Amino acid sequence: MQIREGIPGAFVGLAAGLIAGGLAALVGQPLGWALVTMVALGLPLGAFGGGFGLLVAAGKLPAGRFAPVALYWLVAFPLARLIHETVVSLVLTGQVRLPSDLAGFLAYQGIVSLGWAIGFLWLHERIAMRLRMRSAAAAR
Amino acid sequence: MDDPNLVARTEVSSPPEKERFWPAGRLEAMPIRKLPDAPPSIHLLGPTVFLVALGVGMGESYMWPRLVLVFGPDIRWLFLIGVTLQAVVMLEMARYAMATGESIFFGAARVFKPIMWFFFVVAILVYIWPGHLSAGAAALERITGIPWTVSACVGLILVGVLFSLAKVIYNLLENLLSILIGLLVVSTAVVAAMVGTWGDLTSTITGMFQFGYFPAQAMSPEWFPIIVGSIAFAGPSGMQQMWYTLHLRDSGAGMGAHIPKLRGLRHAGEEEQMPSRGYMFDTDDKAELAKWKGWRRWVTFDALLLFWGITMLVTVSFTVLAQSASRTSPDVKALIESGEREAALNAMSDAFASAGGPVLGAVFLGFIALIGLNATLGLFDSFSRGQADMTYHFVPGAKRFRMSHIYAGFLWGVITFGILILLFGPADGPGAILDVLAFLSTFAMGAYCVVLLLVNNRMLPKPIRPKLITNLIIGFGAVFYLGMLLFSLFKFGVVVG
Repeated sequence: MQIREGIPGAFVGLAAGLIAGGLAALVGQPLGWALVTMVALGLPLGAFGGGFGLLVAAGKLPAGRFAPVALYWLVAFPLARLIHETVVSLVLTGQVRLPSDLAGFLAYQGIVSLGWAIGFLWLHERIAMRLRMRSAAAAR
Repeated sequence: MDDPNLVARTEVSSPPEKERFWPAGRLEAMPIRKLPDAPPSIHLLGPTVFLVALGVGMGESYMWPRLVLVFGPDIRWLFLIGVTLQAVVMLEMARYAMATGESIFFGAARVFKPIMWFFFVVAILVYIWPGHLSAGAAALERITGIPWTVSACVGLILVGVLFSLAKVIYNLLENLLSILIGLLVVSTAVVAAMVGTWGDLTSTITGMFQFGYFPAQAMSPEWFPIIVGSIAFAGPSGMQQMWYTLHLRDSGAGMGAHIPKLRGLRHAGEEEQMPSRGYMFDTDDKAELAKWKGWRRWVTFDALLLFWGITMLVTVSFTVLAQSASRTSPDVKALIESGEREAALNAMSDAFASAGGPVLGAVFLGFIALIGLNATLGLFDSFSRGQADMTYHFVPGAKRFRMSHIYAGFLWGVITFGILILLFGPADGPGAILDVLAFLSTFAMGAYCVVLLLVNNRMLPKPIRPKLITNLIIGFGAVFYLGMLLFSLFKFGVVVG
């Protein structure tokens, strides 16, 4: 299995964290807050995104269908958000604080994950296709 | 390779030894050619991106959140009907374009040429005004401080230069819009995940299934036309669905693979000769019909997941954001109700800022600017593409020019007119004809439903005609758009809002 199969997914996840943190910095949020958001959201999303690509490459998830992507993110997206919330509270207040209504929080994130999954798939397919074309051209 | 369709064209476009034809209407019959193989489900994210870019606009980000704040989330069942209807319309537009490689305008001309000329004139009347630039450019002004007329004029020229230099316009635009829409969707999901609540989301979603909810206040001359307009603006509005057939053809979907791609002005000389009509495949051949089913599955995936799903996601997210904004800042509700779009957008941005920090206010305006940019890129290309297609095929003598030249003529024409109007005139069009333009835009939607019924049931071979249930839904669409429009006009004396 080639590690580069994970690049498109990792890129999309990291880019989402970068957008969230970058916009925060742009509009004058404290730099620390922006950086924490960037790292605490971008890294988990990037790791899960890269993991998705590797699972597809290994044949553990079928390629070219939406349902597996949606199911994968139904679990992974709420987890990434939970990590984000926990790390932000840990860095800013020094305490690990879980969202007050944990079940409601996870359920809400689970529904939003469907939207995220569409956007993820959209960008992932496009970047992966471009990388495939580039490596095919290089091979020629 | 610049044109992936080229392989398909050279492999399957050469005429067989004994030429066969499909006669459709009174225009030139379509030669029978091979249907290319359909792609696997999502590996060709195609022309839906144009429909999403054009369709996700003010309806989703402003008009529907506004109605939810005024009437409550239960009013959203009308949005569900509007978008679902548009998804079926999209599938039916695709049926004709993929089966023939012709635009729906050509199909309309096969039924009765004046119908096509009606759309030609409506497109000019409705889409020549640069008013659609104002919301996005005004949002950009709030973030950057650059006066909106300056960014709008610069944007217009950039769009013209970009499309003129492109080798294959479709490829450039599809790549560009895909990245922009992808970013919009991913960021919308992340922002909604950070600020929304379970309560907002469940009320927004359950509101979509409160069929029949219609408060007395909505039946007033003030609100009814706005509701009709909002339903018409749920997803693609006006002629956007018709233009989708041109993008579908240029993406090489179905028999579109036999038609050369439109090139930018700088590369116009490389454009192949455009055929004078489309092609049909052999619908008596079982293998060909199996391929056709593959294409239908592909476009259904596009319609349901990408078009319906993304439109729903954006509008649900914006509604959730508007609800959280109105809780923290009650003023926003009054401003939104008042109907001043710019003031309301700014108020929503401020409310987001107070709800989730300044980042949210800017993110909101950034989204509006991005939506405006997507719509503008898509609109200029689509308008020029549609007018060029009709001109090339139906204006006597136009075939002396290449399609790319006619496209460039319309593109630079609408850009020049747009800049002049931005600098010296009313951006939305002269006040006296605003009502006429709004009427025509909604009327065109009812009219294209009628055209779809005629074209798909009379111009296509029987095995690939739509089923009864599809015809009933499209027929309902025609009655729905035209009926609501006329009811609003005669009952309240007001066109759509």
